[in-house]
Amino acid sequence: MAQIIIGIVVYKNTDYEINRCFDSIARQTAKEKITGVAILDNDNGSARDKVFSALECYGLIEKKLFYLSTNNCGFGTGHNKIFRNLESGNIISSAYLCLNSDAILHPDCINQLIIFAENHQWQGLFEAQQFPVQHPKKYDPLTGITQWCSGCCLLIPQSIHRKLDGFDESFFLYCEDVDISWRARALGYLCYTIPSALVHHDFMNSDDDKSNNCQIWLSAYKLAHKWRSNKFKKRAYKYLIKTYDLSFKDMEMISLPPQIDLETILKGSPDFYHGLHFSPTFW
Amino acid sequence: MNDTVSVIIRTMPGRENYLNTCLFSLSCQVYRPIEVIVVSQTRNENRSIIFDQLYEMYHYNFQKLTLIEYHDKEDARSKSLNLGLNKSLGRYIGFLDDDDVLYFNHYHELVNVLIKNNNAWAYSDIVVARFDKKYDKEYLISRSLPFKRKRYSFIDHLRDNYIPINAFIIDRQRISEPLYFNEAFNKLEDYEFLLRLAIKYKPLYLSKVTCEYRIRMDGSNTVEDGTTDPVLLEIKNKSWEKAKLLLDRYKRELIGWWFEELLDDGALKRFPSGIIERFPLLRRYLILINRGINEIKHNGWKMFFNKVKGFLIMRGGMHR
Repeated sequence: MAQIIIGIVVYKNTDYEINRCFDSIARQTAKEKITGVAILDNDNGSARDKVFSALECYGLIEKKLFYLSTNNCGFGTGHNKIFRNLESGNIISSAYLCLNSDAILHPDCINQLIIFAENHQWQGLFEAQQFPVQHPKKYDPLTGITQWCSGCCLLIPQSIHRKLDGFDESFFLYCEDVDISWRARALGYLCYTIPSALVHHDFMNSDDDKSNNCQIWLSAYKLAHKWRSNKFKKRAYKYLIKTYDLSFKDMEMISLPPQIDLETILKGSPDFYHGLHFSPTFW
Repeated sequence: MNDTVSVIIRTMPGRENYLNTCLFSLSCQVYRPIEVIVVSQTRNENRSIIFDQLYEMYHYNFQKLTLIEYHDKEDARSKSLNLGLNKSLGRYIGFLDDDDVLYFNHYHELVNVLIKNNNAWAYSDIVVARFDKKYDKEYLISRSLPFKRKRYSFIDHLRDNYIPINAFIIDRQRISEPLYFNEAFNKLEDYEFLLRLAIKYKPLYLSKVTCEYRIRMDGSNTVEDGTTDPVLLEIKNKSWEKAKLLLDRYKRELIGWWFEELLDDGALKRFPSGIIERFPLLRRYLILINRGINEIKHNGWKMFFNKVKGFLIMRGGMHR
């Protein structure tokens, strides 16, 4: 039987967000396939009480639980820490589910993800479709194949996670999911969107925020550097200086990830032609 | 009365997938006191078993989740809504079709603006999402805002149905008449209902997108376009024409003879509706000019002068 471990990185989330996220985990039709819930608190443990009271309230206390706390190390690093912790504890599962702390799972979401992954012999990255506002990037309606998978609700088989060595920790927030998807493609795996697995995501909370937008462009700048797109890197550089009043010195201070070899780029086929979507879009 | 929003969803057996998504969007609402009434019209005696599964999945999210099932051979869209209305207990009322989707803040935002103001009903902006089908799988192809207006105008509303059924809620405490849908309609029933409401109660417009209206290009919607199949399109066009004629009759009864003047491609359309509403005298003159132009067009100058002469004599006589 498939066994899933859910990893959640929390950072200054409200009680309401934590409660509804954990509630949706507890209401899964495939609840018996969730073997554990691992939480990393990126705000030095400030959410400890509310996390444990929510776990207890929604009956998740019977699962294997992991709670780690640290100062804010970002999304990808947070998930890597959780994963390393699971590995060191010899916790074996079929796959690891990255879940946003402000997301709500459809009651049948995990079940649909597992069915799809099983039909594909757990070879690939599998994302749930965001709801109610779908991500505009294209996927093939018949096969579900897409250019990259969002980290909002992403199922990564444990063996693939190990091969990829998790997320690239030079990305603090955003674009780490695009990077891991392209690296997976370079290794010969495919990325899939599963329209029957829905995850609710409050897009309005994040999209309007100016600092979030700056963070997206910073990560896109790093991504372009890593995947050797000079044109997009220049564009991101100009945009950051013009829009957020960053000086040339500020830009020099940004620590950039090492560039990857040309063979990997050819296999991963990154897309920098469609702006921040990094993929052709439906509309 | 309580602060509950009663949400009436109309559906039919065979559309449980849509209903599932609709209930999921309702379960994610920030506004919690919600009572859901699902009204399912069956065309035959088969009862939907899947509803029991949906009940198990979602009932804990709402104050109450009720299913009303009834049998009718005809398309009884208004009857479904009336059955739901009769059963509802909440102070606020919202309506949904089973394939509608709400954003998490829909009822929260609309209830808040109603509390802060004295209007009896409020509506928000709505995204039209078009879906196509490939290999029997649906996928989204576009998102647009064709219903967006700068503000509410009753004249614009008379011309065009730009407030879909899922975009509004009504505060029952502020309405003195009983709410009902006209069962003579099996299309445009929401439009007729809203015009009847709007003529007495001006709505509050919230300029924010909080819901989605989904159109499927396979023709499964009741909307006018929503298909690329010419045969389906012709059938749809015919039934829509019939519904429009019926609606025009009700508009005439509701508003008076002059509603046709507003809908003509005459003088009024050239003026922004806001100005026309603010200056009733201007409106009256424009209507007269428009009628004059139409008279000349249809009956010629002679008849027009005779009518004007007759009108002036009548007016003079009355003054004496």
